[in-house]
This record gives sequence, C-alpha cells and structure tokens, in this order.
Amino acid sequence: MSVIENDTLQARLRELAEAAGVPGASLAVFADGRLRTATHGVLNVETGVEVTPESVFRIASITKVYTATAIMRLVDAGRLDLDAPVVELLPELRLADADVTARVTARHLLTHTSGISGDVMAEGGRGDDALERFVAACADVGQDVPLGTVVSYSNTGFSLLSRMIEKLTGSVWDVAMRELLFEPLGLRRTVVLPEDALRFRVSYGHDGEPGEPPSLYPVWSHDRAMAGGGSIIASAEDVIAFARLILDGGVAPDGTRLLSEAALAEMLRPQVAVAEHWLTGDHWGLGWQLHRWSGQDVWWHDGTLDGQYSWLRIVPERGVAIALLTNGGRVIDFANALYGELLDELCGIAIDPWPQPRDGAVEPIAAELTGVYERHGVRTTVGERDGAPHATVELIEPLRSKMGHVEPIDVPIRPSDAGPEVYVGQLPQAGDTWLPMVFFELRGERYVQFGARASRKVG
Amino acid sequence: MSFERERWRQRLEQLRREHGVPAASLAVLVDDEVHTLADGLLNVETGVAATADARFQIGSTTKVYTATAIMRLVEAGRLDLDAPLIEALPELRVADREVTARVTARHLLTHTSGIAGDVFTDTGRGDDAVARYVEACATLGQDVPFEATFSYCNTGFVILGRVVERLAGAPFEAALEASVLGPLGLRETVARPEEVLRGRWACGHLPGPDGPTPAPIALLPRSSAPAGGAVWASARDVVAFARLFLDAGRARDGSAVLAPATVAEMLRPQVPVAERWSSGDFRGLGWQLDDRGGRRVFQHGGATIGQRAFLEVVPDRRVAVALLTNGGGARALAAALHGELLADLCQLEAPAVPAPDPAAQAAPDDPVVGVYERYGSRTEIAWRDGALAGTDRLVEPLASQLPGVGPVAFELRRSDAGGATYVARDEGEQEWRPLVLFEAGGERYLHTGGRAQRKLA
Repeated sequence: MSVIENDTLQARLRELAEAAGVPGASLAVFADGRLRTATHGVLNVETGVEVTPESVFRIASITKVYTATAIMRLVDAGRLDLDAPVVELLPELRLADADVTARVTARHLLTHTSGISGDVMAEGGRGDDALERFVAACADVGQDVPLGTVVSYSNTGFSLLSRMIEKLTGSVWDVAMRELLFEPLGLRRTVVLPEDALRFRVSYGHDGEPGEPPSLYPVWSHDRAMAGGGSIIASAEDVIAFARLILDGGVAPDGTRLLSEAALAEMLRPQVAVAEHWLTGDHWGLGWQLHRWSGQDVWWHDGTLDGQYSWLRIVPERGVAIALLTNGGRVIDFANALYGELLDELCGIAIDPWPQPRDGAVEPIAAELTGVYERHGVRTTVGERDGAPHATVELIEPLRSKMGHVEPIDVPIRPSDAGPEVYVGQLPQAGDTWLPMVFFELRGERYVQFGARASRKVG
Repeated sequence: MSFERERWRQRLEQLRREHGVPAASLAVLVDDEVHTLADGLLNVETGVAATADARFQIGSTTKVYTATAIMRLVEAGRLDLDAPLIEALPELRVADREVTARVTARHLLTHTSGIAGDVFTDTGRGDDAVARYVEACATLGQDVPFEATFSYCNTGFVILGRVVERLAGAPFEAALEASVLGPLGLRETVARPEEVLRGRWACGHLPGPDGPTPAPIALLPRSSAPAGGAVWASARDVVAFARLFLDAGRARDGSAVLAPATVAEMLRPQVPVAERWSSGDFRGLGWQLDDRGGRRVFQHGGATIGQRAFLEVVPDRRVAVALLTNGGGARALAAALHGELLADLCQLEAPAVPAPDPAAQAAPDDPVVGVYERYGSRTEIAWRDGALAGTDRLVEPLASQLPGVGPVAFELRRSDAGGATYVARDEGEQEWRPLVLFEAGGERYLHTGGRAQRKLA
C-alpha cells in the first residue's frame, strides 16, 4: 500500500502527529499530476474546531519565496536590476554601515548574504505606511556578518524587498502581492491581513512546556512591516497551487506566463553555499533553499511564527510538491519523519540524517573555537560548563533594551559525527532534538552558524 | 420568574430557522444568573457551529462602551462633560465655527451636536486612523442645527474616541481595554482582528441568491472603532457589561468602575426623541431609554457588515437580554425573541409599531409634503396620483463619494399612531417604518431611523 493513497496518507499523518503531540496539521501532496490532502486534529485546542483541507495557517517564512517570485516578476518586466544598489530605488535607506547602505543589492537580500541583522524588532505598526516606517527605522541596524560573505538568515532583508515592491508597484505590499501573484494564480485562500482570514477556518499557534499538553500561543503578533518576510496566511492546497507555478516552469493554471524561464532558472540556481546545510539546504537560490539529496534537487522553504510551523518541499524532476502546515507540538521530529517518508516513497530520496552527538566520552571543545561570537544584538559565548562543551546565548544592545528582559539561553553542545567543525546543540524549545552548529573560517575570521544565523568571533 | 432553558432553546432554534439567520447567540440575565444559548453556523461556508463563547461584532452597541470610557475620564477629573470639547481636543474642527467652539462631550453623547452623523471616512488601519478621521472633519457640515434635536451621530462617537485616545495616550482599542474591558473582566471581548482569531467568531452574511452568503469584507474602517467598528464580544460578555448599569457601577469583583451617580446620569433622560420606535423615547449618555407604560428599559443595538447585535435591559427586574446574530432576518428574529422573553420574564409588552391608518384621509396639502435635507441626503415628499409618496436620495457632498447609492422611492401613509406620525414603505420592502414630523426652535423636522432632516422652506 502506497503512503500516498488517501487513506494511508491520512492514517500516517494522524499517527505521526499524535506521537509528536501536534494539535493540528494540514498536508497537501502533489504527485503524478494529482493533489491529495490529509488533515489532523484541531485549529485551536480551546475551541476544538477541526482542521479541514480549506483551513488556513500562518505559513510564516514560506512567504519569502512568494516575495522572491514577485521580485522576479518585476525583474522580468525590466523594472528592477537584481545587482543594482537597493539605495537607487530606496534613496531614504540608511543602515548603520554606510558602505553596506551604498552597496547592498536585491540579490544580496534574496540570498541572505547582505549580512544585515535579520531579527530587528519590526515596529512599522498596522498602517499602510508600515514598511516605509520600518525603512526609516533601520538607521541603527548593524551587521551580523560583513556584506557579501556568508549566508545569515535575514528577515530584515525581506522587509526591504517588500518596500521595493511597494515603490515599484505604487501599492501597499499586500495589495501588490495580490495583483502580482495571488489573483493570477487563483489563490482563493491566501491572505495577509488577519481580518481577511476571518472568512476561513484559521489555525492558531500553540506552545507549552515539554511533557505538558499544548496551550494557545500567548499572542498572534501583527506588525505589517514583517510583510514579505512572513505574513502570508494560506491553506495547504493554496501553497501547492503556488508551488505548481514553479513546477510548471512559471506558467499559471490558466496558461498565463507569470515568470520567464530565465527568471525561474535564476531563482533556482545555487547562488551561495551554506555552511550549516541541514536546517537550511546546501545552497541558497533567490529566496529558495536548494538541496541535493540522493542525486536529486529538492527546493524548499520552512516557516515558523508564533507557534505555527510549515514546510514546503519541491522535487522538480519528479513533479512532486509537499506542503505541511501545523500549529505546535514536537514539530521538527514530526515533519522530518513525515516528509522524509513521502520523499522516500515518491522520489526514492533518502534525506541526509542530521548530525548526532559523537559516541563515547564527552570531549572538550577545541580551544580555538571557544570564545565570544556576536551578531547584531546577540552574543553567543562558547566554552565549557561542568566539564562539557556549552554555549550561552544572550541579548546585548541594541536589542536588549528593545525586547525587555530575556533570560540568557543555555545550550549544551557536543562534538558530532559529521566532522570536526560540526557540533550539535540543544535549544530548550526543541526538546531532545540536537540542532547542527557549524564553526567555519572565512577570510581570516571565525564564524559559528546555528539556527541559520551566522555570528562572527569577536574575542 | 425563572428561565426555562429548554423552552427558550427550542424557541431560539425555531425563530432562527424561520428568519434565515445563520447563527444566533443569546445571553439572558435573570435572578442574578446568566443563561446562554447558541445555535446555528458562525459561517455557512466553513460550517463552524455557534457556541456561547463565540465572538460577534456588536456594532454600535460599542457606543455605550465608549460612553463608559468617557465617563471614567470625567470621574477622574480629566474631562468636563459640559466644557467646550476643544479644550480637551484643541485640533477639533468642523465646518461651523460656532459648533467647533461650543460643542461638548454631552452633546456628542446625546446625539445633539447636529454634526453630520453618517460619515465613515476610511483613514486606513494605522494607529492614527481615528486622529486622521477627526482631522478630516474640518470641512464637515451639519445634519441639523446645533442643539436643535436628537439626530443619531456616528461622527460624534469617533470624536469622543479621539478624546479617549488623547487623554489615555494610546490608540482607542488599547485605551478601551485599559479603562473598560480590563476592569470589567470582559475576557471574551476583543477589539483587534488578530485577537478575534484566538477564539470562535461569527462571520457576517449578506443576502445571496442561495441564502445568506459570507460577507467579502469583515471589518468597517478602523476609524469607526469608537462608534461601532471594532468590538467583538460573546453574548454573555455583553450582558456582563450591561450588568455594570444594574450594579451601580460595580464590576463583578466588587471594584467600582463607575460611581453610582455616573450610572444614574448615563441613564437619566437627557433629550427626547421624536421617532421613538427605532431610537427610544429618550437618550441618556450613550444609552437609548424607552418608557414602556411608566417602566424603564435601556438598550442599544448595532449593525456592521452582515452582523447585528441587540441589547435590552429592564432595571426594575434586573433582567438583561443580549442577542448577537450574523445575517438573514435578524431584526425580525430579535423583535420576536426579545418580545417573548421580556413578556415572560418581566411582564413587559412590546410597544405597538405604527401601521397605516386605513381611516386617515391624506390630502395634497398635507403638512408632510415638502423637501427635507441633512448632510448629503435629501428626502422629497409630494402628492402624486392621489397619494403621498417620496424619494430619498444622496446629494453633494455624499453623492459623488458614494456613486453606487441610487435614489429610493417610498409610499407614505398617515399612521394609526395619530398626530404627525407617518409610515413609509421603501420600494422592495415589506415592512413599514415610522416617520415623525415635528417642530423645534421654529424649524420643522422629519425624523426617521434615528436621523432628523430639516424642512427647506
């Protein structure tokens, strides 16, 4: 019995979701030219409203590949040069680093190589001027890493790209997206503003202490300046409809060409290699994370926001797309297991296993790796505690005073089975899962990459 | 006097079906106990069922919440009800300079400023939405002369909302939370769309070819928040709010949210209303006050895009009824259900609604014949083909702002309520609506649906 037979798909989703304590999930799988869906659980543990295939979730950072697609439509139209300085279009742009202000391009932003700190607190508000206000507030935003060096995941970059879309179209970002993508693709359950989701069944995020039943996430944060970095709310079926634009070579279901073949190829061309490639893919394209597994390309993006988690996987050679949307639980194990099985079954792809702690006695961390690493507003101190490798992650200025008091996070770390530069660390919210932590050198500087962000060694 | 739950459950379901209302949520306070019933679908497309905790838009019922926030500022000594409002809100401007200089919070709370009332300028969804709305009032004219008469005024409540914002130093929604929703412990009342998503909520429905259809737009512009655009609540939270006015201003936890004298002032008849069937016999501060054979009922209702809310309170029996609905024949459902509930629980008869008087002889020189105007809107009544008839139409400046709104013709009859009470039936409608012709300050006015229009010549 194939896992993608509807009954089996449904049963397998439920089994894995229950095992991982996932409150609700919606899965859509496109393969052999056919869409299959399965759902599990509830949208909200308090209301008990059940997930249906039409239910919408926050797809969070998967939004970034939609934004990249909209940008490429504008490139196709000759309205934007990927390699021109952003400041030509946004002359008001001022970043902490004047050289970065002058030189950063859309390509840097799309490939997360601008180095511009990615996790500034967006404070654009609710109005149509949110992105304009966001750009005006960027003057104290510094660098995680130098411009054009390595990938360091940057939400800020996608807010800047969103403002560029506004400038080029003359419309507020969400309206521009509707016109550039949602409507041409016939996406009927893809919206941006919370009030526009009120027509649908809507998933709410959950969290909770390990071992406790999930509870509602404290807030549904809403700042419109997040825009193209993560604000789309959509059904799994609609995410597949978007993915099909990519599978179908840039052509919409009604036959309209929305993206040129050249633009599509450019988006999906490996543009920059990634040191920590388990969470994020070996390379970044434009917006897309690019992986090669079992000799096949897999294009993807994930999303995480306020207790909702989502995954999009495309295997172009097989014409396969998988969209998995969830609202809490031990999601990493759940998703790895579920899309792992699907990729195996549908494409014969075996996912490279994530690095695991090396067997044997706990070894000390190499002396040259210990020390202080920083990115904008965040300090990671790598050393030892109780005879074992350990990192402490804490906020520093300018984020510290913006975010209020946040306790430093203790991260036990271990050497891994994936090589001497690859360690693994445990974040409190990730349960038993070990996440890869990669140390590397570039142009005489040392970096650590953990959770898709890079930090430079400063002491 | 007790609440027969099973009887009312059946009656709610029956009436809801009869009137094609997708969902109805009812909360009844009686014997100091709140009973809740919910029936139907919150959204006919998603199929999510109504429950007692589901949030509906309460529309203009919000005005009493805004009034409460204003009265808390008055109690705190930060606002004088009878001082020119421009002292608290120096940026306030309307077209008439004298109104700008003299209008007070009391005028706005009692709908007697005469300022054009049906203005829903969309100033975006930013935190400056209410402030920008008030800025845009600088060229706004009058529906009726200042202080002349009660004429329902949404604009006035947005201006009051701006006063609340300015004195609280926060956007209206946050100020309302801090001054009213929080102190009253109204945990099923929210004012931002992303907070609505945390529970169950009703979707408004509009008439469609196959029955009620989910409205394409959920919210009124944010600028209308203080007048009725923002607040969502469960029916039992609406009753919990109303209880403040039965408990002399004390919240359920015993804390004083309003002083007893403030509650009394809000419920004191401050201005008479000519056409009382739609708007009550009097207006208090925010509240609509009805005189039912010497007994007092206070109430407010509200409508948004496909949602309607109804709240009635009978203080002598300490009974409150809140009904929240999301489309279909909600008004007829509410009239029937509230009527039966108040008859049963309070021995209170619903007032007779005027109907055409078959015996009355109209004539070509009937005093109602003439032309009436308020801001952007004109009613012409004439003698045609042996009967009274009229037309409502938009005129400038609204006509060009609302190009899709065409004229509405109506039949007009003298009514069995006598005096200068008429009834009109708009083309395509079944129901007759009352109109009252009256004089104030040497001018003649026609009053219907809460709005007054002045007779021209």
